[in-house]
Amino acid sequence: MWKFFVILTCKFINKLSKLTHHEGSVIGGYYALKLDKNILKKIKLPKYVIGITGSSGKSSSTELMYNILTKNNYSVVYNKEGSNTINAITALILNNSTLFGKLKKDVLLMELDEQFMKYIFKYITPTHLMITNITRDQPPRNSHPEKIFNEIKNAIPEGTHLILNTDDPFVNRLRINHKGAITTYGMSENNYSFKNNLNNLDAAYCPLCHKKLEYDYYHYGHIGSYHCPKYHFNRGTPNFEAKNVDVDNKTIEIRDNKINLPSDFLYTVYFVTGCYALSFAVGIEEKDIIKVLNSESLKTKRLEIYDYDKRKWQMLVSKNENNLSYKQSLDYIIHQNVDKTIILGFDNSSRRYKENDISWIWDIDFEELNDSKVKNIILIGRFCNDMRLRMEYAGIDKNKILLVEDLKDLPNIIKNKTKGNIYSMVCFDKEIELKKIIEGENND
Amino acid sequence: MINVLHLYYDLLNLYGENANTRCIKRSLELNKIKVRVDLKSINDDIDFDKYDIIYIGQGSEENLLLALNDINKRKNDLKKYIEEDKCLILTGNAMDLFGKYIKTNNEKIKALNIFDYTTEFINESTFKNASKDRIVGQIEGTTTLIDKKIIGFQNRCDINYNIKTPLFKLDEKYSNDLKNNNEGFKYKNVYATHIIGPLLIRNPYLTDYMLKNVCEKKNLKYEISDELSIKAYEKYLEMI
Repeated sequence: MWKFFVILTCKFINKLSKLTHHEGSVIGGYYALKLDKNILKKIKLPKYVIGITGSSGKSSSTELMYNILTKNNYSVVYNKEGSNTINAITALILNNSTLFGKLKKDVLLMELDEQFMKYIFKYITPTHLMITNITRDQPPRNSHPEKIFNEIKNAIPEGTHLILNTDDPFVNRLRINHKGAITTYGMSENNYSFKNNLNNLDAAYCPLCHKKLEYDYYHYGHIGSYHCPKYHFNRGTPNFEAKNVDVDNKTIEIRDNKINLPSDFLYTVYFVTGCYALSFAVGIEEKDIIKVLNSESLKTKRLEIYDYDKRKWQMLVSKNENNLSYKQSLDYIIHQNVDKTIILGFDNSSRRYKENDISWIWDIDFEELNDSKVKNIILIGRFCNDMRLRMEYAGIDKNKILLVEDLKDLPNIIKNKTKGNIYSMVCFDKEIELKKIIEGENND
Repeated sequence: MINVLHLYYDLLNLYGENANTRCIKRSLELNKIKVRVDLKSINDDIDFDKYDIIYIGQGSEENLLLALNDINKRKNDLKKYIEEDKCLILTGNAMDLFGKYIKTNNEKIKALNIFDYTTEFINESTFKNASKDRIVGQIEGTTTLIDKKIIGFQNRCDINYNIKTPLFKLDEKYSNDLKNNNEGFKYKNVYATHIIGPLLIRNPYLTDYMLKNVCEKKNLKYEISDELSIKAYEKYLEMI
């Protein structure tokens, strides 16, 4: 009876909160847990409880997984906005349950925060858990990748079927001593891979014998194909490996099946291959997975491309404090075979907290901007002088660099001093200002 | 010719700290001084006599203990190096290696015992910040070495006790033992601080001070500062 009351309260608060235009996704969960902190243990969950976590790629993966499941006629409840605190997950589950405590869908799908996950797994056990990667990400909040590895490792329940990206040695470590099924995925060598890596920063040693891992190739950072010199710990051959990777033409092959990618970013290979592996683990037939992956609706991932000064201007998100995500966006820009001007900069390192650590700009290989097709680099934002110094260290031709401290000057500078298509990768606040500049131009 | 050793470059390398050796190289080269940077790590053969500057950066707690296991075998070499007045720069938790011991959550591990201080890891933050269990924040400090402010960032879980000769003075919540304003450690030409990341790039005046000392000993002229670095430093101070 108490369960009935708690669920009712959660649903009622959720409705009330929505009626008063408040954030309905969290508050009901908060009160439900106040009334009964073990309420989640009392809910009859569906056959499949799927979690997806990692430093990056979890939102894209969760969204794609939702598509694969629903298009194969599974009913799915998932945290669409990525709200992943215990309160949010509680509200998600209770709001979708009957008053008798049964979650009415076939699948509960959750995008999970690496650090909050442990609070959720105290009450519910996932049947499947996919881990995309463990990299440097928001260090003031997350400390360092090893801490995140330990958080994830300690949160994983026995018996959960793990879906692991074994190109990442941190993720691969999770299989050591895991009691439960494991499915692995990865990406084969391709034209984004390289042999040497000065910034091979993390997880450099074998977790078992502490000998330095040897790499056959790197995709980026510590992600690639590696093995311990004594073969205690290796990437091995993943169960699901993206082969014949052609990012520019947006195709890969998984188990001899040709798959279209939703966009020409390298990271799409990982979330597509990961979701393929996860779908297979859940029991969806390969032909049904492929049908969704290759359907038209997934092909057109919206890119933010605008016209400006009779040139194309593409906006990318600046993944501050995540050097590998940032690097992949730079890789993408460099791989576009056109002359280009790149706009970089930020006012704050984070939108989540006030502490501004700018160490991360020294972990990114800006050196790759030494490319003949990069005609100009415009630096904006409060830390533009630090970025200027970073460019100097990267050996970029001084004549290519333009420092714009006042954005009012930007239109003139772009029009008169720069060449080629424009790619901007700036923080959220600055992006809004850039969009205003584009709108202003197009309204004239 | 100045020989630089970046020790445990692949283990103690969080938060862009590789930039410190890049800064040493660039600053010396601006002064037309030849410089060589060697990267060494655990189990490598190292001839410490060869080096004029040794740099060690911050690592994860696990990697710090891996490095500790290795550096304990090199105690005599390092002691000799320090007593010969040579330059040792330590950022983040690298200074913990040189104290008496490191007390982790469940054990007390013997460290180099070259200096008298001790280290303890904490599990919860001592004030509200972006992290739940660490000391995290932007810092601004002073030093007796130069008359310019020191800027930087801390992200740490190590507290150090019994340091009588600090490197910097700053807000007590970022200090060695969180009880006074003393931060870091200074002895002869050993410069140790909890500041992480590109300390030397962000503090060009401090870098000049250290490198001038190193160069003087070798009768090399060091006069030119990195103007771009000074500009970024000054802009930052205006901004905060």
